[in-house]
Amino acid sequence: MVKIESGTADNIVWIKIDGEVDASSSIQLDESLHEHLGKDKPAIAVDCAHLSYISSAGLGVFMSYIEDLKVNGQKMVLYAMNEKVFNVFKMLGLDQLMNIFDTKDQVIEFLNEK
Amino acid sequence: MKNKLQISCNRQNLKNVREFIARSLDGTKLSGVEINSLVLAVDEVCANVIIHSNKCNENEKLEVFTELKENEVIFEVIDNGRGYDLRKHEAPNLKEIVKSKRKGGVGLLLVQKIMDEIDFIPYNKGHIIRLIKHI
Repeated sequence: MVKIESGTADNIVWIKIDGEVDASSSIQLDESLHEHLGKDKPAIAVDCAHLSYISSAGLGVFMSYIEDLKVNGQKMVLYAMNEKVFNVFKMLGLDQLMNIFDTKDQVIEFLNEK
Repeated sequence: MKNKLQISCNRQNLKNVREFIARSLDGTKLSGVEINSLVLAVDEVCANVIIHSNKCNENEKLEVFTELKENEVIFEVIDNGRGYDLRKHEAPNLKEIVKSKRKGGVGLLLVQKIMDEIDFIPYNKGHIIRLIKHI
């Protein structure tokens, strides 16, 4: 079960994931990210503080948008992951392919860089 | 000590598998991160069995066994579907997956990274996927 909320503030789309993203719930994450994808759309910041679990289905959703984001010139960052979840990203080396930060302040600093 | 769980081939039952695995590892010396990795490995195998081997047919069942030994943890997933030999799975190239925008394909790679041994044993009309982690 996962709950996903999103809202725009300071020209950033803030997406909050609450719960587990697995093979049964990853579709919800996919729909939410897809909705905010596009040229001239603001950067996306994903709050993972309440993401308690992620499996390959969830990783696959994030990975599938890396190319589109690049083409759009749109930034996406993930932040505040717990250790267990971060370890899953790290096992595949996704921490090198994606922008992952500890705090919201770091996210804002990164997204405000020109 | 051996424990068993049986579920029908519905993705929503993966949560039950995760809870079962976490419970069976309770009280071991494994860290939270290690337990999460083992839970993930079994989740990935079961997701694969449910989705690919049994096409999410709820009439089909799968069984999961856990066995804790002094120096290893053994998980067995019994799949009555058509099966897929994990050992023959070639590790995908991450950059190619990203380029192709494919949403799947890294689950079995995670299993290979997490587990020390993976066996695929014919059993009745299906097979057993045996995962071993040395602890």
